Parts: sequence; C-alpha cells; structure tokens
Amino acid sequence: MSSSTDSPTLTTETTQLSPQPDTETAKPTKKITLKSSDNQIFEVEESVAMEFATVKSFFEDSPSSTDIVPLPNVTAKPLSQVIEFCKEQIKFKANPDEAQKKKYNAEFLTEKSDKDLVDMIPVANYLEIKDLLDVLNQAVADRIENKSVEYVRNFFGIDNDFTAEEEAALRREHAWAYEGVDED
Amino acid sequence: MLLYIFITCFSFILFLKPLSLKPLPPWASEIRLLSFWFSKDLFLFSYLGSLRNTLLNIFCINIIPLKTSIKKMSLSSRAEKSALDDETGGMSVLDLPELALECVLERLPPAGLCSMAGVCTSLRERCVSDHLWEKHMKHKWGRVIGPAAYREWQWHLASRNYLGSCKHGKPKGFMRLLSIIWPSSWSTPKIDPINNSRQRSSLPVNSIMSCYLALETGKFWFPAQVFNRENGHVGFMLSCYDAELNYDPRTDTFQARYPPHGRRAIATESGVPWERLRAPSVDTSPHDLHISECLHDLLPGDHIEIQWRRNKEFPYGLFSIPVGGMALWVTWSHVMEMKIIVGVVTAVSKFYLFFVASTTLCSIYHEESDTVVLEFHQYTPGSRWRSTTINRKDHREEGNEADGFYGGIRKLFKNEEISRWKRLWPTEVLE
Repeated sequence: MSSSTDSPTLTTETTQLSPQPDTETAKPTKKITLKSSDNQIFEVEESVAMEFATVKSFFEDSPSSTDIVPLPNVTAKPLSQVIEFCKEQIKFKANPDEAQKKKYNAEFLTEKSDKDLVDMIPVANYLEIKDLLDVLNQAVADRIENKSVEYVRNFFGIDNDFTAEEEAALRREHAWAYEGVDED
Repeated sequence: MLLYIFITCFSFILFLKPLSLKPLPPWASEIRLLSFWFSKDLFLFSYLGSLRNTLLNIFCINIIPLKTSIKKMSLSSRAEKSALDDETGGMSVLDLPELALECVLERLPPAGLCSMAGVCTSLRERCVSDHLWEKHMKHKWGRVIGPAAYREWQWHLASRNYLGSCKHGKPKGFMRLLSIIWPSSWSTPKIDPINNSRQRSSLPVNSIMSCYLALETGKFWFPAQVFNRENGHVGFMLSCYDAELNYDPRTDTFQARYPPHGRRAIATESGVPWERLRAPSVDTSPHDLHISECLHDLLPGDHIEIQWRRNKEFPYGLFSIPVGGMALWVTWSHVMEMKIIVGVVTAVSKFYLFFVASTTLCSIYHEESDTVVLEFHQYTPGSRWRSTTINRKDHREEGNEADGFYGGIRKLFKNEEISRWKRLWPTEVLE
C-alpha cells in the first residue's frame, strides 16, 4: 500500500485522538461518536455525521440518544476517508463553488488507490451518502472503462472462472471491445 | 499450520454469520444491537467479534480473495445479500451491494461493459442484461433504427440458424427497446427467438447487446434512409432514399447500398456520415404507396414529405399515362425507386389564396378546394420539377413518365424534422 493512501488516515486519526481541540475556543459544536467494526472511535461534528443518512435517521428515531453509534459494517480506514470527504462537502455546501468542488473531488479520487475506492463504495452505500456514492461509482467506472479483461480481474481481485473454450469464444464475440484498450 | 488456522477461522466465520449484526437500518434492531454491543463483555463473542474482523482482514483479503465471493455471487439470493453486508472486512467488487455494482455497470460505456462481461461468469450474467444496453442502444442507434431494421434483425437471426425454436410471446430484448423508440407503430412479432443459453458464454441471441454488437461491428446491414443520396448530386437534393446500411467503426461512417432500379446495378456509397441518416419516417416499404392521411389538413405553408419515383429506365408502355391501377404497383415493386422529397406548400389552391386575405371565407373554401398545388422551392420557377398538382379527395399518385410520379404525402409536424430538411437546402436554386 502506498504511503499517499495511508497519510489521510493518519491525519484523520490524529484529530480524533485529541478530541474537541477547538470546542473551548470556538463555539461549541455537538460531536457525534461513531465506532467502526474494528473498534476505532471517531468523533465527528454533528453536521458531518448528518451527511450520513443512516446516522441521521438513527438520531431522528431517538433524538436524545447520546450513545456511541456503532457501525458494524464499516472498518476504520474507509470510514476515515469518507469522513474526510464529507467534511469538505460541508464547506462547499456553505460556500457553493462548483469549480472548487470538482477540483477537490478529482484530487480526492486520484490520490486513492484502487482498493481504497472499492472499499469506500460499500461504506458510502451503507451510510447512504448519495453524492459520494455517485462520485465513487463514476471513479471506478472511469478506472476500468478502457482496460483489458485481465486488468479488470486484477483491479477487483476476481478469478477467471471461464473455461479456455468459453474465453476464446468470448474473445471472438467481443473482438471489437478487445481492440484499442489501454496498456495495463 | 496456515491451513489449520484457515480452516479454524473459516468455521468461526461461518458460525458467526447467523449471530453477526444486522445492518443498521432498519433501526428496529437498534436496541438488540446496542445491548449486544454493550453486554458483549459477558460473552466470549466479544472476543470473537474482534477476532473475526481481524481474521477476515487477514484471510479474506489476502488469502481467499474470491473463491468464496464467487460462490456467494452465484447463489446471489437476497438472503445471502444481508450476510454479505456483514462481512465488509474483505471486499471484492462482487461483494458490493447490488445497487452499487449496478451503478458502476450503468456508468460503463459499451466497450467497458463488454470487457466486464469477459471477466467472470457472474459479471457476464449482469453485463449482458438488456436494461444496461437499452440506454446505449437508444443513445447510439435510436435515431437510425426503426421497425424495418428490427424485422431485418429478426430475419438476420433466423438466417444464421440461431432460431432453434420459436414461440409466441411477450416482446422482449430488442423488441422492448423498439417499443420505446416506436411506441405506437408497433405490433407483436410472430416470431420471437428464445434466449438460448445452452452455453453460459454465448450471448442471448435476441438480446439488445447482441444487436448492438452486430451494428457496431458492421456485421448487420440494416434498412434506413439516406438524405441527399450520393452526397448532394444535383438530382438528389432534398431527397431521402431507402438504402441498406452498414457501419464502419474505424471511420464512424456508413456504407450505403441503394436498391437496384430498372437495369441499373446496385449503387453504393461509402463514407456516409451520421447526419445523413434517419430511420424511415413511415413504416411503408419503398415499393408501396404510402396512404396519405393528412390530405384534408394541408394548409398553405405546411411542410410535407412526398414519395416520388421516376421511370426513365423502365418504360411502362401502356401505363405511361398515370392511371394508378394495380398493374402499375406490381411493376413498381420490381423496378422502381421511391424517394421522398420535401416540399413546401405555398398555395393550396386558387381559392385558397382568398384564405390569406380573408379568413372568414376559410372554412367554405377549404371544403370546396380539392386541388392542391405543391411547390418545390428548391427548383427555379418554371422548372418542370417546380410544382405539381394533386387532388386532395382522391390522390393516390400523380405524374407522368417524363416528370416522374408523386405518391403518398406525409405532413411534417415536428420542428426538428422540418429544420433537418432545411439544413439540407441547396445553396443555389436548381434548374
């Protein structure tokens, strides 16, 4: 795994490990505690947590709840990346700037490894963050769009379960699609 | 040793599945879930819970990446799905929630879908499904594919001996697509090939994907119409010919084969761009007279298309005077070409000129004026092609051997169609 993909996690973790550094100085914002399946605790501002439709409906159903919100389907790493993304989206919500937003989204996606992207999709799906899900699905589609079958297998870690004859037949049938793919 | 750990862990995982937490929503399970979470210290499960994740991370990601998930996928039942959701420790694309995977596939272009279809059997099943191809088909081919092309495709399939058996049934596949494009002019086909999935790798023959690929690769000659045949040769301006077309993906243009007429050989033209193509505007064979339904609605200034054919190469003999009898039609079907010419009706009749000046007389004269003058503005005044007269009460075909015959009329209602003709307008007036 490349260091570039690790660094965002680290920075996010750091902010979580020193909870509420700015609450004393700035106006107090409500924090919501999320717990990943690997027992990592994330404290996020309420506005960020409300971006997660799943978490939002949790609090709508039980408004007085002060409990930690367990996210049994979500591991820490993709969750931290998702939080990072949502934090930025909130800023764009306050100050709409489509060009900046596009730029940020593009940068956010390019620095992620293939695995990071694929790992974030179920998290975005589970937490029902529609914008992120759209962005991720498009990013994955873009990455595999013009690639060879072998590349796609590798990308997703899928085994080839066609027989040799079937594979040959497919190649004949789809010769057109096999032409002009990018170098792996 | 490794194997031992693997087996032990895997049995843990299987054992834990029924116990594992349900996905958060619906929140009905919240209390059970939280109590489980907080009381976990009482149980060994707490330990197992974290152990499970670690193990999943280690083994599912690194060692047993796909064997299991493919198996799961092939089962791919709803019940299985919730179990899958619980095990996000090691994800592969096949473990993605249905909807998310579907979203990725929806965003792939046709070539990307084809590649995905070659990845593994479960992805293939998804990638060949009609709903993913409908959009691509409509987007790329919707403008030029009509019912005639569909019939041709059915025939094409049958002629390739794909048709193992036939059945009467609900329209599906390509048929369904066309019912979207041509909602009204559609009837259920008599023959509908069964999606033959003897081989899991072979494409369902009547799928939209198979048709898309046949079009895209130029394997399928389809009937459509070409504007300004032979690229604007003077005699073909503002006309639209029936032809058989074949796509050339390398140049993104078409090869056109115009049907033979008279003693002429088949004419071909290559490099025909998309802009000069359209699906036939009416589902009438070029050998048949289109029944004009709009004759009584024609008003000055209307835009119409009219069938036209000439018979220079093949004299009619006795039928040289326009008669419109049946014998003439038979002859046409073998030797004549039909083309559709756009015309602008300027004056419907002499009476009708009143209409322009005095609207109160409109309805009276409308009823009484049976003679309609069609003017073809692309020709210079005085040209023998400039105008023709038809009778709106009993028009079938008007003309003569020298000037050609004018057949069925279709009134243009859509601005889109009118402006398309206007774009083809010749820069100079024709003699």
